Amino acid sequence: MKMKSILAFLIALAMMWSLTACGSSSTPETAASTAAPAADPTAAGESASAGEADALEQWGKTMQEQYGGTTINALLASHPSTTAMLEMIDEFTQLTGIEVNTRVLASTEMKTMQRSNSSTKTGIFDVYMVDAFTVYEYAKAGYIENLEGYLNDPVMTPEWYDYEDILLAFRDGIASVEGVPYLLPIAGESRFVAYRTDLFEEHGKEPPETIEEWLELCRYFQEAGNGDYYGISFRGASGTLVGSAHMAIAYCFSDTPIIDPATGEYQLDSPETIESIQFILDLAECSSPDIASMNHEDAAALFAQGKCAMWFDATSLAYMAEDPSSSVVSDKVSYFNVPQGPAGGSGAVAGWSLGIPTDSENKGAAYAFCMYMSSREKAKEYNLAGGVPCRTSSFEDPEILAANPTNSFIFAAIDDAGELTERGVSYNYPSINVLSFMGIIGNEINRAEIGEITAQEAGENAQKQIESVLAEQNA
Amino acid sequence: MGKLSVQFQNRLRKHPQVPYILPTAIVMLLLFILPLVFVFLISLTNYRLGVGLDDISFLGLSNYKRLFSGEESGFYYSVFISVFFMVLGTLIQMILGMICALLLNQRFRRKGLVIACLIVPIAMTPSIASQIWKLMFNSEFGVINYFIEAVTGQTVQWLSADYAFLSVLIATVWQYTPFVTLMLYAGLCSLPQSPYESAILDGANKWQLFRHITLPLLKNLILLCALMRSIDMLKTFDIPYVLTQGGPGNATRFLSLKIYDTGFGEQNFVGRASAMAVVLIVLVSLISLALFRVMNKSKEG
Amino acid sequence: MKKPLRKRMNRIFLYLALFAVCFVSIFPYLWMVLVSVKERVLVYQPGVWFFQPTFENYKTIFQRYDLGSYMINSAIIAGCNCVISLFFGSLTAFALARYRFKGRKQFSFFMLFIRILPAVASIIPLFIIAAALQMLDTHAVLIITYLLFNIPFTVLMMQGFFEDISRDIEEAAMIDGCNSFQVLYKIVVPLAMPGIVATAIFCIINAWNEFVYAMQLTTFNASTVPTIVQMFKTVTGIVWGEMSAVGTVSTLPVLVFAMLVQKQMVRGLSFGAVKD
Repeated sequence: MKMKSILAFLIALAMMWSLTACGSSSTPETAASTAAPAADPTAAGESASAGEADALEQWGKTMQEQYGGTTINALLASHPSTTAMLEMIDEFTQLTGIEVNTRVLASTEMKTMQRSNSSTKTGIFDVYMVDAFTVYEYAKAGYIENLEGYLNDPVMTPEWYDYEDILLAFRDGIASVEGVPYLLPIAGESRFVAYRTDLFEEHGKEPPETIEEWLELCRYFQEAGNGDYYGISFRGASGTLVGSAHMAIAYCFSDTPIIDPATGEYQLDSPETIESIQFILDLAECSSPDIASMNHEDAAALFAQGKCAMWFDATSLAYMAEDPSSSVVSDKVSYFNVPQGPAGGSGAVAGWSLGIPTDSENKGAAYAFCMYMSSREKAKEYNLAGGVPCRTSSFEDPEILAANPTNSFIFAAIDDAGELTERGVSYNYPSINVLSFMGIIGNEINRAEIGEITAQEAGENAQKQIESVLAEQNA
Repeated sequence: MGKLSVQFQNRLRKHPQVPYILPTAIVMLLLFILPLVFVFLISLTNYRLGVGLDDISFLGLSNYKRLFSGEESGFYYSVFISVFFMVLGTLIQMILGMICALLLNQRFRRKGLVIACLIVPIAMTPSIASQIWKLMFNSEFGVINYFIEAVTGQTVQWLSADYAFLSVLIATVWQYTPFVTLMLYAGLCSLPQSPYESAILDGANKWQLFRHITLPLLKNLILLCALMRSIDMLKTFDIPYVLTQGGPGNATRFLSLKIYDTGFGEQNFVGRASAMAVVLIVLVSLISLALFRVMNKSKEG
Repeated sequence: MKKPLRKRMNRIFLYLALFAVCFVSIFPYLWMVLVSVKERVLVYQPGVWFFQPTFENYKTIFQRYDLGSYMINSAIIAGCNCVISLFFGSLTAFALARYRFKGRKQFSFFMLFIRILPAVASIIPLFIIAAALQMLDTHAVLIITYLLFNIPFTVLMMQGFFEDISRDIEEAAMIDGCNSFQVLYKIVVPLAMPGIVATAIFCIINAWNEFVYAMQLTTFNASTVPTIVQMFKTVTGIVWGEMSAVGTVSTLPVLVFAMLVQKQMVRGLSFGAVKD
């Protein structure tokens, strides 16, 4: 009997424990709702013109009535755009009375967190920041909410949001799946090449037109640098790092370098794709001996410290070379697009968007946050705070262009994406495996970089592994 | 009721250890056995995070077949370098730890200061410490190459394919040797004096003292340390994850990193990763069993 | 004349060796402190030793990243976990040291064996269990999870200490009418205090620095200091200055605590070190 009562006591204890645990996880919300901050609409849109400020205020009041006092939890990636959003949160809270908790993580860990929370439906998060490469996967898995209803609702999406103003490449390319909008783009990216104007002038070189010329230039400067500086730097480390670098040039060699959308067949062992892998290996030859272990940061640092003639990476990273506080070459940098290959330009499209997890309990308030942060009304403030632009109006605004000299080059690089659409190609191919496969390809290319295998073998190995994954998925 | 309570008390008298061990046993059952069973079950499926329950299919042993048939590229290599890293790393840590402990055991002033210095690597958060090591290992801008270049005029590509393994080893040895040192030093402090005195009378030199008195007396402690270190070395994760992410190529893709790469982050093949985890667990168990046997034998002998 | 010279040489060699050990041990920490007060552009210039130090990074981590609340979470979790681990662990260690029962050796081995579970393998199951119990993002979930490595560690350490304590006193107390629990808490524990202190330090360090579980199981309310590193791993690279500042500050409490109880720690370690 005693044993039984001990057991009963233990069970009761355990239950109490879990009860208090539930209680404590929900306290912040109740506490926040009792202590809802009084909104101060006059403080809100100071910078905006009178009419627009009215519209903003009007919306703020509506939101206040509906969601005032709610607390939403946002999971964000560490990114310049996140920094800008963090600066704008106080204003948002004042306007709408919605409190925002944020959790900022490095992108890989953030994806793991999103997958594990969404697949167990914990309901912890109300806002996700989503990488372009995972949009399809999340939409298919039912992680993220279809936003069509919100976008069509004039109360939730007032005039000043201006969805059409967002570049088509991002609206369609990184935020929608099969025409359905799942996300609101917050940062648009492409790839370009930064180069040292002083070195190019000194050696009488011009930015290249074709990728053969590009490789030529890399070889030239690798030799000219004679160990003092290298030809080029880029992310060459294993997995998605070199995998994404490869993907960014793969469309120069073929319209269907990875998958043929018509047949759904993967073709990493096709001659064109092998050629593109070989091109990455050739670039790696014109770089630091450490290239096979360099992530984006190492590559940027190499260029920013004046150790490279060129640097090939994402447009959103350009400020690392431009910022005098982290770069010794800040006044000697210019850019060119990834040059034309046998099949055309590269047209890389990537970026980040905001979305709402399906298990969120505060979807309305969460949408208000996503919409506010990515709206045209707030775009200027956001861009000037370091947020990466993805709206036509931003790229046309002289003030925004002046604030960051790379913006016009970014716009040009993104223009290439339009060319890709003309070729009938979508950069982010529709598969739940985009990132997994990028990782597999990257691992094999990385082995080739250090001479373990050839480009041919890398392509064949990757193809074999991808086929085995697909076979298993269809089992 | 009274009868039951008497029965209970009798049982307690027969097994007085039960109330002492029960809480630990329950906690461990929940935290250890449950995940273990779970991992094994997942390893038989093609589970991925984000895949609906209906889409999960039972694959039997096919995940294991993939591993052992060599279809999983680089798996055997991962096992090999994990074991190699364990043997080499444990050996170096034990030898260096012993040397430092012997140094500490000498008589000198400011011993507290030296011990304080040794605590620093133990107390530093591994995830941050490895980032600092990465910065120091940087071949162009790292402070280590700065020193090496000043002395020899050459630089070393610490994180390249040839040296990455060594770099991970150095950072690991730096972080964990002090623990071994402190344990062994504590052991040295508590050794009885009498055997030494009589051996010195017999004219034994220092090496003989160490070889024939210190080592045998510390044997159990050394084995315990070695066992704990070997297990941790086989599971090593934090340091290579930050320093090299397993690369370049497969140069530092230890089994734990391979599991992480496959199951988390970008790839998300949890089923396959679980099969590897089971292999890792079996591997660690076998090695710790073997060492435990040696320990028990030396206890009896 | 010959002997003193050789002795002096030995002395010099000893001090040189000790200096080398100390230097290597603390150099990464010193470098981290240096980086934390450097301007960003100087981080990649190891040759620059003299510069105007900046304390901006320290300001930022407390004001913008709210390091204080992370440290409070860490302290709550490490503290509670340490107390529970010591309590459960020393009970078990006491039983293993005092009673001869069937399966004793196996249980002892099991305690070591628990170490084999790699964090990357157990994290998904533990996440799912915690989600089902609605315990995600609470202090309790980390306090409980860390028992996984801290209880076995306590058992391993304390068993040796308890075996070293003479049983005569205990037997005397038993005759005076104490039961075995009373013996443990009135007699054995006070005697084993240095050992408990040594064990406590390592338990606290283990819990304070743990990263993988903290990363997955907590989000807003109970995140610990190591997870803050995530914020400095941006897509544009690591924010070295701020990360180093966090590293410097977060290591300090543990370091200071360990140094304060250094004497007990070494005495405690040596207490249970040699056993048969």
